[in-house]
Amino acid sequence: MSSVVTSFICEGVNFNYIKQSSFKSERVSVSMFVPLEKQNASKNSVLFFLLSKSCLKYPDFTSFNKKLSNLYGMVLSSDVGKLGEVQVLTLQADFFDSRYALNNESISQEASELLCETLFKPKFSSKEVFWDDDFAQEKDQLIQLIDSEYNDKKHYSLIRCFEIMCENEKFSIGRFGSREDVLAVEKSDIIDSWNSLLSKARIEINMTGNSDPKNVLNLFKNNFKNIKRENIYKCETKITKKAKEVKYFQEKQEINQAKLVMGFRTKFAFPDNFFATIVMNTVFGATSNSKLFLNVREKMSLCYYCSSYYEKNKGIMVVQSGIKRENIDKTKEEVLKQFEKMKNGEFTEEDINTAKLNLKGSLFSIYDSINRINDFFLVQSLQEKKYSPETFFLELKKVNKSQIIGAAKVVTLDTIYTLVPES
Amino acid sequence: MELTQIKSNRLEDSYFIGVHESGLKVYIYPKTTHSSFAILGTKFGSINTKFIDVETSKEVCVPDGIAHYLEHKLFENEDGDSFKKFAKTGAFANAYTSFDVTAYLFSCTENFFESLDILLDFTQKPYFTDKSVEKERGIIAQEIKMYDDDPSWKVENNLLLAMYHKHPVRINIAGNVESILRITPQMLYDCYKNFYNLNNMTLCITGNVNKDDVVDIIEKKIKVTSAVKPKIIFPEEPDEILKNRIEQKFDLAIPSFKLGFKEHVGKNDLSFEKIVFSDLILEVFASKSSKLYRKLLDENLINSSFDFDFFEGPGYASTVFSGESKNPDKVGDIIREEVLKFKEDGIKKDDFERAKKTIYADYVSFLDSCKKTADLLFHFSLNNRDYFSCMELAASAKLEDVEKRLKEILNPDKSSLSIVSPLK
Repeated sequence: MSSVVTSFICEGVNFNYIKQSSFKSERVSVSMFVPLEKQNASKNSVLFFLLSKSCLKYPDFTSFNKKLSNLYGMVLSSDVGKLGEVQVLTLQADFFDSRYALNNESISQEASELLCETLFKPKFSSKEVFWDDDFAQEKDQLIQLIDSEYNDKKHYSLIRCFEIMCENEKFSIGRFGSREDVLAVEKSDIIDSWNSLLSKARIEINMTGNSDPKNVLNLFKNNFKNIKRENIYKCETKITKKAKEVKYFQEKQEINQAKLVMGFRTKFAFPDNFFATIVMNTVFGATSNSKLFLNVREKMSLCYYCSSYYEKNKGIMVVQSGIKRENIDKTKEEVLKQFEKMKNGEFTEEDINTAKLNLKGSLFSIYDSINRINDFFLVQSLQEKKYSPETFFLELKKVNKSQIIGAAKVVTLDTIYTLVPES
Repeated sequence: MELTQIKSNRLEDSYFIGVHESGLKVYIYPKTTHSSFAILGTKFGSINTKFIDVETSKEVCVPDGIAHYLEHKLFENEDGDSFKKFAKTGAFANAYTSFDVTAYLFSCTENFFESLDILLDFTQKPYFTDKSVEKERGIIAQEIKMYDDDPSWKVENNLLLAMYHKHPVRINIAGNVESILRITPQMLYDCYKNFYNLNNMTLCITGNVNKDDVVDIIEKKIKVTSAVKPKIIFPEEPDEILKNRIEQKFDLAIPSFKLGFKEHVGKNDLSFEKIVFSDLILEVFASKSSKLYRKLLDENLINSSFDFDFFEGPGYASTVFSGESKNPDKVGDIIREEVLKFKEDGIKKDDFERAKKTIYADYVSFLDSCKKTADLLFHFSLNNRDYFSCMELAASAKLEDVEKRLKEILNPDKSSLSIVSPLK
């Protein structure tokens, strides 16, 4: 299996190369890690979306995109995510492997240069270039993106549960900040954010594909030469180990199906003692062989989906289901009843093995997708100890029944959120 | 069963096709991946609600959503739930029903042949009882309700309602809460008998597999039965659209739209040239480097969700633009106006050359995923289309041929706009 070759670029900046020759496309991405803060989340987000739309060399949106499509439809995109209470800002180039180019073009070099142009020489880096329209447009686009999260009721109810559950914790801050914060972003904020991120953020540059990484690495080294890197941000996530009392919260909307979201504190989060919690969550509700699927869906026919998900970066487990309004209590009781069984050890060795087999399949197939390879290693960027999919699985394999029971016993119910039809 | 190798010199890659004596089409695409993927599909989707029964020769009309219901129930055999069996091999199993097909699939990193065995087994052993069919009603009703709350699903459904008068593509894939109440075990058996004949099915396998081992297990597992060719009845569909605008209110924050341009489709499916050329035309007309995109963006009418697609199947085809917008009607007006200008001006040479590169690279990059590869081969098998030829065609298309195709599509008189908008 492939491994990661890491090169040091400068203080807090690493270049990671994962050779994968089976793909017909390649990716170079730059990810920045900063503490999730209300006053900065929206500024950083607007900045990153702005970066992926143009650069000083191609200041016009259309000419920039013509350049991209000429490079076999290269995609330059931004993504903003949350790793616990850390905001992760990514700018990435996805491009076609030169081996299959029609006219022997070298795509990787040009694509990486273009990525560097957008990051290190954006339009606003020159005082002479007008970028007011770009700025206004990007703010508006981000507000629309935040609004569209309301349209997806499953996603919306999950976000609301997190917000209520972690009311006084950084985790309740949205990955893009809030609508109001975006509206308040000013042009000068963008330049400030850009400068401070380039000099203070933890940065991981990942390259996955078949091309020689040497030129790409040198390209980044040269670009970072002129940047003074100091006072690198410390990124940490505070874990609430136990719920105080159960919070209930209900909202109404003009919808057909009620959504039930139950948030639990698991005590353990990545990277400490979390392997047993992963296996416990899988047996409980993460597969079609789990207690939730077999009972809430198959036996009681209450829903189409009822599953649990372990947000390992924050140490939270959530159960989600879409049901008839009148079945909310029944479903809630059944979920808790099934969880009691986890605590009492009412599951078999076979259940554990099936869960582990499932986790193994999921881990070992990571190398077949550029996205998943990147995600797997990105999540570990801030940790000292690094796992490969194989070593990660070895840890899961060691988990035994009493450890699973132990992981279940320390779980506490924190919040029950329901979204129900108006009438 | 003999296999024929289909090669691409450009990609230095190949796949194999064969037809088993049962009539089952087999596609095998070996890859140097860690996982493998198998999909077994039949040409039976939500649009197949009327047919001539192979035994009685009588016309049969089944409730809306039955193909999807059958998909749910086929997993249950007399000896238990196949999902559970898959879980024990470590495979991830799933299934889907679309307008024209139903497919059963799994992916895995080990025990591939045990899982393939399960797949070939449960799909050949239908077992429906009153109790098991009854149990599923609550589950599927909640699945339908979930989609009823999904504006992106509704906007598409409504577009088809506006564009099509009679074609069953208008019908919700899962049916509705009332139609599924009428489904009985006997109806499921009837549909199975007519459509789950191996002559009507394809098995596609991609990933880390040896083709000879696959052939061995197929020879062992597949039962040869008498060939049945289902006779499907489709109503005559007019070329005109039914309505040019349809709107539904939802509890949401930003409106979504789909603008569809209906195309005439005769008895035969569209040729793959027509599909590839449509992709090229759309890339020139509406991608981020186009005049249209710029205009919509500058007027603040679209966001990053803007997309376009060529949608086709038995008896239906349309070009669809979609996205979120504060003013979907204005987007509709602009696209309709720009289409006319575009058709008048024709396609510029340099735009065309860029589009060829992009579409060619798109087609090739799909092969990065075992799942997508298997899915594509399955869909291509329905009309005996070859994927590599498609890819080559995108790379070598001639401008004059694509311009001819442009004359056939994107007629504003045959376009419908579907909008879902906020309550307030």
